[in-house]
Amino acid sequence: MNVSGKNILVIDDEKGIQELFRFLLETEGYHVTVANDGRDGVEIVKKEDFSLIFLDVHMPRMKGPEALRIIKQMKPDIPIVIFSSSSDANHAFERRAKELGAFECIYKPSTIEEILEVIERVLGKSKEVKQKGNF
Amino acid sequence: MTYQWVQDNLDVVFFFYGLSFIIMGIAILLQPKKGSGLKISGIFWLLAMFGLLHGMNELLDMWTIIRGRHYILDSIRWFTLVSSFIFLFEFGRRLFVCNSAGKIKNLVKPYFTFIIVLLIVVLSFVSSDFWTTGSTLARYLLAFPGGLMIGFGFFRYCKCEKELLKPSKIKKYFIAAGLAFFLYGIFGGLVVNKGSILLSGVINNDSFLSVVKIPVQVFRALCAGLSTWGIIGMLSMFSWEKTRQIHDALITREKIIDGMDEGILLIDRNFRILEANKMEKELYGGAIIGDYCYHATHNVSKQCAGLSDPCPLAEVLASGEKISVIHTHYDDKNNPVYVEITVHPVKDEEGEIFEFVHISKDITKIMKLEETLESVSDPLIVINHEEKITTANPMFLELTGYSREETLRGTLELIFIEEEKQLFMRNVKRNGFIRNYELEIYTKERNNKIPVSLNAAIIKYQNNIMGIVCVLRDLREIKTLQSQVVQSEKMAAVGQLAGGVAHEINNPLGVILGFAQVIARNVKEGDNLYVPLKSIEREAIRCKNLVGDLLTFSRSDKSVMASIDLNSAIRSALSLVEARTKTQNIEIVRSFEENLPKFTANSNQVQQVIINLCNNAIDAMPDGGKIAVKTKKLEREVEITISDTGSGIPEEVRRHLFEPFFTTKEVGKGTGLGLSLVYEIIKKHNGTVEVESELNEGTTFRIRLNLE
Repeated sequence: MNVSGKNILVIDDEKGIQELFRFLLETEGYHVTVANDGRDGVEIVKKEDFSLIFLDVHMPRMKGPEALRIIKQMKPDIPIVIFSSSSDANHAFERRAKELGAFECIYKPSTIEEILEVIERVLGKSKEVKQKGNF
Repeated sequence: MTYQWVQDNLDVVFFFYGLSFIIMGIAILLQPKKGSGLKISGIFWLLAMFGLLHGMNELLDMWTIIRGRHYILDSIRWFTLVSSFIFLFEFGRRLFVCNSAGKIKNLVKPYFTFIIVLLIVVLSFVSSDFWTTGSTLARYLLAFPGGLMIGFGFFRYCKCEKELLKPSKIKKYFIAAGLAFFLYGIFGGLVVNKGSILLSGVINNDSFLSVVKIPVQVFRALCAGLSTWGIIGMLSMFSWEKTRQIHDALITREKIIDGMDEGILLIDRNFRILEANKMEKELYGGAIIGDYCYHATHNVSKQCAGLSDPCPLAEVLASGEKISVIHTHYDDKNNPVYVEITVHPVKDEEGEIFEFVHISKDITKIMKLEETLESVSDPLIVINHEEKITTANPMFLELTGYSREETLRGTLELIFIEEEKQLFMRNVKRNGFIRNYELEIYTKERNNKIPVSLNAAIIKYQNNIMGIVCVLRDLREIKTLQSQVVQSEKMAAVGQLAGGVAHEINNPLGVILGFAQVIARNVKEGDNLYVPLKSIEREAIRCKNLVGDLLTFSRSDKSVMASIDLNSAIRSALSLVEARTKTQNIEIVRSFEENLPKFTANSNQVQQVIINLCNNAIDAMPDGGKIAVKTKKLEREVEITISDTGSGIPEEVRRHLFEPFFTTKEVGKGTGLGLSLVYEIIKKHNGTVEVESELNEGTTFRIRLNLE
């Protein structure tokens, strides 16, 4: 369970981002799984549980918003952090991300403090939820 | 006894007789009748010929009495007698004809004279006594009808020309001369030498003498005297006629002068008005003659020296040439009258000016028109057919910097260079007008050119080009606006580009920043790699900020507006700023008005404004200080003030504060977008942003946003 608590999925088509998360989070003791796009991500989530998912917005085959919807339907308890490169000047999706069930939306390029801070918050929170659930 | 004396001294009677007629003849010949309008002036010479010939005849008679007869004298006497009667008859005939009408006029034919003379000559030749027959027939056939016709003619003449002769008072001369010739016709034409022809046996000199006791020659002489008196009196008619012609001419000239639209004054060297036409009298009142011109027209008591209208007479005196000026005069009711004055000098034989002819034309109406033109809010000029500027309104003077005098002395070349002028004139003349012709004109400072749009139209009068009206429009502001539009379009393009590129940049940037930070975390401060890694990190953050600014800048109006709680939006923005302030010894003082009403705004953008302003404040206080952030509710607005205790903003910087890409920060430190973003955002929110700054005291930004 401890391992699943540190099991993080990164759905992003950018190889550099995948590598960064893996390098950053694995040294922090997390287990990182990567998916190249929304469809791959959904497939992986079907088979596996994660304590946190980082979801890019613009990807080939299946984009972030659709992947968010499917995953939220499938496994609503997994917190999802939208990790956007904000190509859409209006942030139409990002602004509504929380309404659509995302835990948080952060923007690339983000500092590792931001990333770690959001992970801290998500996992702390879900810990709380779990604790509550335990009662 | 008296009768006897007369009979004994007939030579004296003949002398008087002859002298009278000769005087008459000479008087007529000397009197200039040329150009006379009187009908008889053209035939008077006949009477003169009669007078001279008959006078000579009588003097020869006198000579015969004194010296005795001589056959040569006799023939001359006969010839002068007959020929004088021919002239008498012809004069009488013509006088009769020119005063008669209808049937009577046709009775006396021109060939009558010829027939009668022919008849006399023929009859004389066939008679036994040529000389006596000739003279007697001449009296009967020429002198008698001639005298009657002249008498009748003169009577008729003064009746027909009653109106004409009335003012001249010479009617009496006509009557006297008429009567004299009438009687002369009888005494000289019916009373003949004793003979056998016709009545000569009964009515003759001898029978006359025996009945009347006075020789008939005395009566003839009296008639001669009377007729001479009458004719000489009549001749005065011609000189009177001359006077009247001059008078008429003067009247006509006066009528013309009075009928003119121009006012005419004759002024002497001492500025006294000698004469004025009707126009002037009507304008300035009748009492101007004898008045000083400056008093009459300008209402001043001294020569117009200090007035805005300099005295044209003085200028004429100085130059000796005529001059034209425009003056403002004041009529007798003290209303301004705009007059165009032309002053002509009147010089004596030595060329000295002794009078002035002062012609003034009332151009008040035209000036009113000019006033209208002057009130046109765009620069306007009117040029005449010689391309000289005749009118320029104040806007034109303001635009070009020329004075009115300079402008009115100039031509189009004042504002155009030669080629442009030619091109312009060609275009205008071809089409009659020009619309929105864009070009640059010169101002008084020749190196300063102003873009204008030119509208021009030709003024035509009877197919002649009288001038061109040119209305200019200063395009400087429009050009600036255009360049601003171009600039903002560029900015929008940059924004769109930035939006598209940001995605591509953010990913690699995120990777670079992330790795650098991760590695840096694992490297100790003393390590060789620590500084390079920190550098990569710092520069990547700079890129991140720049891209972020660009994105915000490019964000369109589509951004969602929502009801926001301003205080909490500012609080969260400040929490981001605090990361910087803490390390730089800066204190943030919050002073929020509680219970601010919620209002519609873009929360992210408002936060962006706060962050940008605070970032600037932090940069202005490298040695620490205070940032005071206040919110305050006004009547319909909410006010946010952000004050720092920094270095302040110099005046010249303040002017460019909100311009995109304007920065005072070192290269690489600032994008120059921060404050322009603030401005853009506040503008999009229909709010205002003001800045107050004291050097070395600090700067306050005051933002007001509408609550509605």
